[in-house]
Order: sequence, then C-alpha cells, then structure tokens
Amino acid sequence: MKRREFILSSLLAAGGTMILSGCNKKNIIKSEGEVVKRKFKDINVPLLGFGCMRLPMDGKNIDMIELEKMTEYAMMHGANYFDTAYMYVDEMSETAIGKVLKKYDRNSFILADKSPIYKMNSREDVRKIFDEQRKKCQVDYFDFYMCHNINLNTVDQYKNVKMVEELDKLKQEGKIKYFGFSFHGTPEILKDVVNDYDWDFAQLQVNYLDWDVVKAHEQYNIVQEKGIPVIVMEPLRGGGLVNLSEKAMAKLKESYPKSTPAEFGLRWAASQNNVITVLSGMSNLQQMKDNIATFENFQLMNDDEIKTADEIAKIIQSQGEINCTACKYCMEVCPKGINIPAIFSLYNQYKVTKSAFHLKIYYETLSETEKADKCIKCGLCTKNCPQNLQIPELLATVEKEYEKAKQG
Amino acid sequence: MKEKLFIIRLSIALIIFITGLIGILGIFYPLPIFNIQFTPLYQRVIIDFSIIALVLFTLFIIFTLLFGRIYCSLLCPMGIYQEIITLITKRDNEKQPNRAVKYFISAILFGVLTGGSTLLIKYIDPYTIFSSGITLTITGIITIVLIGILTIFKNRFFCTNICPVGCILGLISKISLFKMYIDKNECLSCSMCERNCPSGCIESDEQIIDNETCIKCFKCISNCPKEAIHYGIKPKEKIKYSPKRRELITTASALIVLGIAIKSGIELGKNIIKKTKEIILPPGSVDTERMYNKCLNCNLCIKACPNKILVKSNKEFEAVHIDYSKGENYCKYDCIECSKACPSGAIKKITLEEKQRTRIAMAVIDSEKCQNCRECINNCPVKAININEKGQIIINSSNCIGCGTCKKYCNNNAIEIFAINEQQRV
Repeated sequence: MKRREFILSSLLAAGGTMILSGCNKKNIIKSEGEVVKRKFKDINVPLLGFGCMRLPMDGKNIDMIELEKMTEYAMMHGANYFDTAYMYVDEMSETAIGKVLKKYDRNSFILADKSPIYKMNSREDVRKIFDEQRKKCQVDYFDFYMCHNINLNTVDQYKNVKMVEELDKLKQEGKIKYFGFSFHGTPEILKDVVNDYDWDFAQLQVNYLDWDVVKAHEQYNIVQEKGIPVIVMEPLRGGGLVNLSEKAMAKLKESYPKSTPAEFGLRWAASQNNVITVLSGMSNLQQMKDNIATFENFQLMNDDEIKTADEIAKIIQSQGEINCTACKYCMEVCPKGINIPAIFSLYNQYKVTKSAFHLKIYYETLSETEKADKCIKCGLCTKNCPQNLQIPELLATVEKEYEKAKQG
Repeated sequence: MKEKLFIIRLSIALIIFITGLIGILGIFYPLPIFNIQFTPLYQRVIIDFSIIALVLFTLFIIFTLLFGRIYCSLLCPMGIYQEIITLITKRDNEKQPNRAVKYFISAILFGVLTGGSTLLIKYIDPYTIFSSGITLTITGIITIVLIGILTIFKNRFFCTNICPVGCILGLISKISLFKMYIDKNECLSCSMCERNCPSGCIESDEQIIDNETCIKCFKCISNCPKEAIHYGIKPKEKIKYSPKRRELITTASALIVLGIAIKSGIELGKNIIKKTKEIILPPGSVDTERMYNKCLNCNLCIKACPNKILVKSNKEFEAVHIDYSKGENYCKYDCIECSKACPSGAIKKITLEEKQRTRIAMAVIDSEKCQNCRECINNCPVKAININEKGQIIINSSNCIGCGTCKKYCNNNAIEIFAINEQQRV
C-alpha cells in the first residue's frame, strides 16, 4: 500500500468512527424561547404539556417523523412535559414517546404515565404493568404517575386491587416521583378519592364549557380545598373548542378579534390559579407552534375575557351538540366496533351547519360495521364514557336524523 | 423377522387408524393422534408460538430425519385409508414417475398457509380432508372418493406426486439416516419388489430405491425372496454429488413460487373476509377473520362439544362456528372441550379460567317482553343479571360473556344473543 492510500483510508476510517459516535450522542437542546413555567414542589413545570393521546398519524401507525419534529420543537422551547398512557393510540403511544425521548437526557424532560385501572385484576398486575410501561417508555422512573381514569365504573376495581398501596411502594422505591390520579367521575366519588392518599396532584378535565356541563368547577373546588394542585386535561375538549360554530366564533371575534379559539381556550384553563400545567393533545407541528406561541407570552385572563368565555359556552350549549371529546374510550369496549366518536362528530357538524346533504354523504363514508344501526344497546360504552354520555340513546337519535336526511 | 416387518407396521397403523377414527367420530378418544399431524402442528407453531406444538413438531421432523417418511404409512389417516383400498383391490403396481409438479403444489399450499390463510390447504391436506370426510362434509367426501378412485388405478399416486405434506417429508427423507436400499450382491433383479411397491419407487433392474417417494411400508422387504432389501443405515457409496441444471432451475423456481405464495397468503388473509357477518365463534377463536383463515374444517371440535352447539362450515360462514339454535342452545360454563380438541390452533388453547372470562357474544334483554320471572338471574353463571332500582331485570354488560344460558332459560323469549366483532376479556 502506498503511503498516500494509507493516509487516505485511515482518515476515512477515523471520519466514519466520528460520525458513528456522533449518532449515539444525546441531542443537545438549543433554546429558542421559553414557555412560561410554574413551580411545583422542587421542579419547574412548563405551563403547556404535550398530551400524547392524539399523536400525528400516518395511516394506522404513528407518524414518527412528524412526532420527532414536534418533540424537538417542544424541547427547544422548554415545553418538556410529556403525558402518555397505556391505552393511548391503540397502546402505541408509550412506545413511540419512548423512542423519541431516548435521544434526550433523562433530566431534560418530564414524563407522565398512567396506570390502566381496567387492566388490573390483582395487585401483582399493578407492578407488572408498571414495569411493562417503563420498558416501553425506556425510562427507569416516571416523574408523574397516575391511576388512570377513576370514574363511576372503575372506582370499585381501583379500590379492590389496592392500587394506591402498591403504587405508593413504587414511589418509596423512587420509581415514581409524584403520584396522582386522573379523574372523570362525579363530585361525590372525588370527595372519597381525595381522602385515599396524600396525593401530589390531580388531573382533571377543566375548560370553559365543562366548568358547568360536567360540574368541573365542583371537582376543581374539592381538589383545591384539599390543597392538591391540578393538571388540566381536555382544555379544548378534544378540539371541540377549536372548531367553534359560526355563532360562537362570531361572539369571540366580536370581543377579541385577535384571539384564536385554541389560544382562548388554553389561556382560560391556564388562568386558574391552582393549575400546574395544561395538557394539549397536539397532532401536528403547526398546532404545537401555535400553542407554544400562546404560552411564550402568556397573560392571565382578565374578567372581561372570562365573561366572554361564559357567553360562548352558553351559545355552544344551546346548539344541542353532543359533548363528545373523541377520547375513544368507548371504542375500547364496543363489542360491535361502532365508530362512535366519528358518528357524533358528524352529528355535531350537522347541528351547526344544518346541512342534511353533508350528513348523508359523510355518514355513507363510514364502513357498514361502524354505523349506528349496528348498536345492540349493551351499554358498555356508557360505562366507559368520561363525559357520562348515554351513548346508545344518542346513537339512536343520530340514526333517526340520518334516516330523515336520507329521505328529505 | 424381516418378513414380519410389513405385518407389524400394518397392524400398528391399523390400530392407530381405528383409534383415530373413533376419536373423530367422538365416541372415545384415548390418544390425541390428530395432535401430531403435520399441517395442524405447523400452523400451531407459526400462529400460536405454542411450545408444546414446537416440541412436537421438532420431534416430528427429527423422527422423519431418522426414519424417513414413515409418517405416511404409520400415522397419516389418508395413507392408511389408501392402503386398505389397495389391500382390497390387490392390483399389480407399476413404476410411478417422480414429477417436479408436486414441489410447486407444495410451495403454493404451504406458502399461503405460512402467509396466514388455510384457504387452499384445507381442501387437500391429507389429515384435514380425511377427518372432514369422515364427519360427512361434502367437500371432504368428494375429495376422499376421488382419491379412493385414484388409488384403485394408480395406487399411491396421491402420496408420491400430489400430497403437499408427503412432498415436504419426501425432501427430508432424501437425507434421512435410515434408508431403504438393495444389497447389490444379493439381488437377483427378480422385480418382486418393484411389482409390489405401492408407491412405485423401485427400479429392480438398476437396483435403486428412490427414498424420496418411498413411504416405508416395508412391503418390499417382506416380499424379497433373497432378503436383499434392507432398511437401515446405507453403506456409503462414493458418488460425487453434482446437481443437474434441471434440478437447480426447479429448486429456484419453486422457491420463487413459495415467496409469491407467502405474500399472496398474507394478502388473502387480510382481504378475504369483511367482518360484517354476524357469527358467534367458540371461545379462543378471537374473530371471524382469524377463524376463517385458520380453521382447517376438520370438525374435531364439533364432535368434542358436549352441548352440540358447534356447527360445520356452511353458507353463512365457511368455518366452524356456534349456532345457538342447535343442541343444548348454550355454551357450557365449565367446559373447554373445543379448545382442547382443536389441533390447528384456530381455537386457541385456553385455560378454563380464561374461557370463563372470554366474551364470545353479548346478551341483551328486551324489557318489553320481559315478565320478571327471574329464571335468567338464577341461571346466569357469571352473575351478570341483576334487578335495578325500578325492579326491572337488567344485564350488567361488563360481566356478560354471551354464553346464552339466560336465553335458554327465558320463558318469554325476551333475551337475544348478539354476535360481537372480536372476543374480549371480561
């Protein structure tokens, strides 16, 4: 080998090694701005949290490229709170988030996960599933960990399995930093649950529409009296407060022409003083950018704005829409596989636009097995619905309206 | 001793055949013989990841590696059936060709099976057609009769040139430890063996036995006047192995066909059926799509079901399914006979506890017809039926497993059992 060749090839080899070793390095976070943070115990939590229930999709799988872009953008702006759960996105959410966050230093992000009560048949299951979740998320500990979705139907199971005792053990072992619960039940149950443990936090559904509709303010008060800080979920009702009807939109534009519905809703939720963070289930980079902009120069709402929110809530309530947040918890149990959220969303659009033609067309795009007439009224969905909707009856209503639309 | 080898083998085979037969007919099932058949075992290995199946399957392969395709003359019900026919007809045998077509048949059938659909193989796999024929399924009867006729004229032509299982075992037999061979020093080339060989694989002039198509029936050993045919480790002859061009081309194209078949099997499995049909399936079979693609239609489960609610594939659904209008009208709570019987993994092996927590359908009460007789409450095995505050009888759908017991005991026909898309854990 000639000397020149030797030098050339060794240089190439060295370069290759450097590139390879570079791949393994944790991403360095370049700060491009900072969302507002609030102090919670001994950490600073960003006021905007990334909810991982409505991740960007590519067909049936999670769109990892978009998700990575979103994560990078969030991390660069200090929005480092990630909230996932066992059942999110057909149980794929945890794995995807684990994959994305692996590239960052463990101290640089805050990860929240939830223990699926419906999966627990015995106390051993709690730890088994916890370990499974740690594996999926590729972490040793969770910053925030919750009993997921305590409601009318899960509360018995949650008590029988003694989840609190088992999870408290895990907290003592240092595998959980802060232990709380997420809640979708009635105020009566909540009064009971808050006394079960010295909770670090509670995750509640708080937004200006639900403040009255599902008695969110009562829940909020119960928790506040106990001195438990609140994490807000569904601040925009699964997008319901983003796609406002014409009337509601006109009201918002009339009072605050510069506000967007999303910004308005998020700010409303974040303006409650007992709130640590507001989770928003973002599905693309643009939503992420918009939301982060909202929280970069965040200002508490003034009284006039809160009054406007009340008025908008009244307008929405008067339209007769179904209060579905498209969380798809019903789809988990529906034995017939009816696409309940899609049907309700179509119905809501129909209620706003009054266009029977569109209802007819879009309803036909659902596959035969997903339609409302397949309902056998077993009522499993109702038990799982966080909003306590009487789904079988509502489906019958939609079916009737659709039949009318078909004829008319 | 050597003359008796054939008789001994035949008697063992007949015993196995008869036990298997009364097993299929659901009379008495001492030995789960049909759990050690090639195709069902193979499917269980690939879809169920079952350790037991894997061990059995590996043993099966090792057994063939040691002794050649003795399965065909010892365990295969179709093989023994053919043997019985030849015993009756007693025709002279002729040399049979060893055609390459079977490799392609086998590649297509097993490719599609590996891809995830039993669609093709369930009409030709020797075990499946035999058992579906015995349980009086029309396709099974037709195939059995056709093969019977073929056997009368062409002897074991099905085994040597069509059967996909035989093809694979034949390939393994090529390198098996024990082989049939002719001792050239003893042989007189009298062609006694050739005339008696049911699979036509002996050329007595050249003193060659084709071990690929030889089904190890030992007929030749018993018939040889000079005891020149041996079954054992063949003394090494120095032959330089050089594959012919034709062999290479055949192998390559068969592999390509196999690949295409696997791919099309995957597509077939996905697209062949839409979940629109209202079909209730036995616990452990997950959903209609899976059942349709995995069930071999051997009907063993039907014979095993104590309540006789399982029905054969029919116009409604072309695989085994539950019909609550038949038999005892409900699925027994403490019974997993169908799961135990299923050799192919179409009905998963589930424990009794799992079965009692598997929802196969859903009961719904029509409150207008209900007369509050409470028979359903007394008979529900999972205590899913209660009385609400208004005094009405309601079903707690979270606990209902859809066993149909309540419907059976309902005096007013107020309960309906609905099929569900996918079986769920309660």
